[in-house]
Amino acid sequence: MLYLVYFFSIILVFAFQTSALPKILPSDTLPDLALLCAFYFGLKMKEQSGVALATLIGFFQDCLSGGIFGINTLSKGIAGFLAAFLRSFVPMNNVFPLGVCITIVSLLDGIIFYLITSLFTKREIVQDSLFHSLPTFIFMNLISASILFPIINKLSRKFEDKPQPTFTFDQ
Amino acid sequence: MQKKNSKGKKFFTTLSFILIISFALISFSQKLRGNPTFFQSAITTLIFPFQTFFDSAIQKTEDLFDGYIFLTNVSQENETLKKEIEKLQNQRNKLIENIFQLQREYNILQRPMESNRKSIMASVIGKDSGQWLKTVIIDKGSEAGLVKNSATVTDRGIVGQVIEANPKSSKILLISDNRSAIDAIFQRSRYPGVVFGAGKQMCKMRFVSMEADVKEGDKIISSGMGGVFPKGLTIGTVSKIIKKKQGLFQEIEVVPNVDLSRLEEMLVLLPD
Repeated sequence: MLYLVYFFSIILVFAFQTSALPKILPSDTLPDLALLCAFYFGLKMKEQSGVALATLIGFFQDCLSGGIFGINTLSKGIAGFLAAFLRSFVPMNNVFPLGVCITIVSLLDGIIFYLITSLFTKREIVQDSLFHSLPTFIFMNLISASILFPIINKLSRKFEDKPQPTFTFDQ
Repeated sequence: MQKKNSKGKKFFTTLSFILIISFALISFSQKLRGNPTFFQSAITTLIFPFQTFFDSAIQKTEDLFDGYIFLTNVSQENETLKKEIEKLQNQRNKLIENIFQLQREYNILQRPMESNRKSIMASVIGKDSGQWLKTVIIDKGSEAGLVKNSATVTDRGIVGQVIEANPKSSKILLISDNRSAIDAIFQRSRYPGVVFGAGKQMCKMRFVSMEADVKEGDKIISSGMGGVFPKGLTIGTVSKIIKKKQGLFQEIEVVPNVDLSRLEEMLVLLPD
């Protein structure tokens, strides 16, 4: 049941990201809700399941995006992996470490896009626009995470069979 | 210690799994060269009703908000009059929106009529799901006759081209995307070059010889080479000219004629 809720939420997040979000935030740089979902699942679920779901989110995004197929599978998979990896070392129960981790995965998302695109399209990518929009992208992701995470938390608590602890990512 | 080692192994296996899957997909997509896979078509079709739902919900909210703003101006009026005004105001807003939409569509339709080329009007229903690419999704697909590489335009000029035609929707690569390249000429001096996407709302024209007569404000049009865009469609205007001391070509910054951040409708030029 919970996985079905997650699946449906991901579909809704993608529909929202591609249609409503550009109208609500008429900015050139938008937050990547898929990246945040991937990070959340990596943090919240069991290691392998979290990373697998994050990779699946990336695969979904690749299907919807017009870019090189596999680029989002890689970046979102790595976001999920990093979340699962970092939570073993850093307690993710307050805003600061979460913010730092989201900043890291947002940076990685941009860098992976840049590296893979330059590698596979064999064309010079204009770095200026990419790296100028990174700070705004990170800021947008941080703000969106503070809204999105409690929503998914609430949803998952509602549909989960077992009672869950309050807002903490420690397993 | 053993537990730590097994955890490290687990992480290594997971990371390898992600890398293998991703690079396999990347290689696979390079082989397919942009043709949509079963998964791409299936997921785009699955998301399409939700996208149209969100799109119309936002539109309705905007209408409602407009209606409310107008209503506050007549707060002194009695209840019946208020309701009547709200009703009329909403109708008026809808009519104005229809007039604007028809005006835009009429303006867009003017250009292809000149060349008698088959075309189809489409509305933008979404943007790319990622941050780094400049693509939009339109509400017409292969069922309406769209095919890959069809050019898309507005009354102001070139928007981009179809890179993926699904049954009910299509993906358009905007001219500002890094992967976009259009063979072009300067309208005034007729010197050739290639317009590349530069991200954000900008393009760059490359391979323009040092001797070429170029001035800021010059219009750039499509040359008709390459078979995607007909000759003479406006691409943009020269905003900056960079002439390096050592180099064969000038580098020219181009502002697209179409406001790519506010696209609502566009015309897809179908192949002859």
